[in-house]
Amino acid sequence: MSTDDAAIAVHGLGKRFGKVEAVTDLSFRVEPGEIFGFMGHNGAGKTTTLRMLLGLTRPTAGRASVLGHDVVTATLTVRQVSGYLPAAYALPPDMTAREFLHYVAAMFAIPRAVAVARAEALLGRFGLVEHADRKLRGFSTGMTQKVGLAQALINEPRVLFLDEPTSGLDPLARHDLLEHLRELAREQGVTVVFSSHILSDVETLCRHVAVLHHARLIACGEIAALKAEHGAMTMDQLYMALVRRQMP
Amino acid sequence: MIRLAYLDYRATLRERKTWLAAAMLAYAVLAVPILLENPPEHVREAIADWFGDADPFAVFMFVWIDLVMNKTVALLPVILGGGVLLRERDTGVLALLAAKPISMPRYFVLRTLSACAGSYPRTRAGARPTAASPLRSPSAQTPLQAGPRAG
Repeated sequence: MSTDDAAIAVHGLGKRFGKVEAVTDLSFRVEPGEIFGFMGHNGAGKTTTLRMLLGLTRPTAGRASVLGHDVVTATLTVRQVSGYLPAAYALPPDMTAREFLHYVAAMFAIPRAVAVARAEALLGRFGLVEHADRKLRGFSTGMTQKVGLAQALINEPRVLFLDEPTSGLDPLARHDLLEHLRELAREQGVTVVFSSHILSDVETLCRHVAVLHHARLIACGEIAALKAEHGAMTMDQLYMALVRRQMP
Repeated sequence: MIRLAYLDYRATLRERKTWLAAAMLAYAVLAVPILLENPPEHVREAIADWFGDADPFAVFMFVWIDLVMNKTVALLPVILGGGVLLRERDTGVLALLAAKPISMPRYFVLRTLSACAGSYPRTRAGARPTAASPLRSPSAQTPLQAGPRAG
């Protein structure tokens, strides 16, 4: 454990795949209970960064910690206190939603009675009770995303990593998801890292943001301050101003 | 860990792959009587040489032991377990489960053990009715030809 009181602290983090720099010299910190936006175009390095923070990919430079636990040396501890919803995933088609939540709870070694109670609470929270005993193979994109989010919350994580969680959702489902995230941060103090290239979602949800462009961090700070600094009225204008500044 | 293994085992039993394996076993059980209806003479002679008599029960046991013990039991867990890695990766389930606090080597050992355990009750379930039934048999032209010695 480090003495740093940040929920997430990243110092000079880098990842190289052969000759390709996926992430270069990335540094930022996220305060506890904050919803932190992680912006960038496809391939900017957002997913690689999240995977490094969960110990799924080993950094080739720098260091990072989640709740004081080093992401390389204490990987399983980091995962024990974290929830993760990847950008691309599938649910096991032969399980029901309820069975899957119990299964994931067992991966966290959560006692059975607690797991059952949490699964029921999450099924209720996401409006899945009626579908809880249906096989997951027939679930729509929105329902799949709800189950995905429920599994990420089954361990009552203190840090939640969400990679493009609103992609593929209709406006209503998107609104519900963003509301759930606000509640989590506000009522339970969960730190949320919200990675997205949908700028309006980031603006709606986050106060602080990090912007990645071609594997590098090009801006990090409070959205309002960044807008003022770059004379931008909207997130689109801010993003374009930041990106254009990088062009030769 | 025990509960996870138990839930994984139950999930394995419900998978299509397991039901396919069960269907293969059921087919074998149904086919054995048809095959045994008219076993090749050289097989009958071989069984008579080995057991002293090629009565229907001896022929049945010859086929059954070959089928179940030498082939099915040996191959099914390997097939089921071997598919774990590919299936998890291809379906995208691994993207979710890899982020849980369990190391990948431990997870795959668990999945493979679960697949092996899942094949066991299918084999037992297939064995019970046939062991009690008469020895007429089918599916196993191949097992008969291979024989226990070859298997």
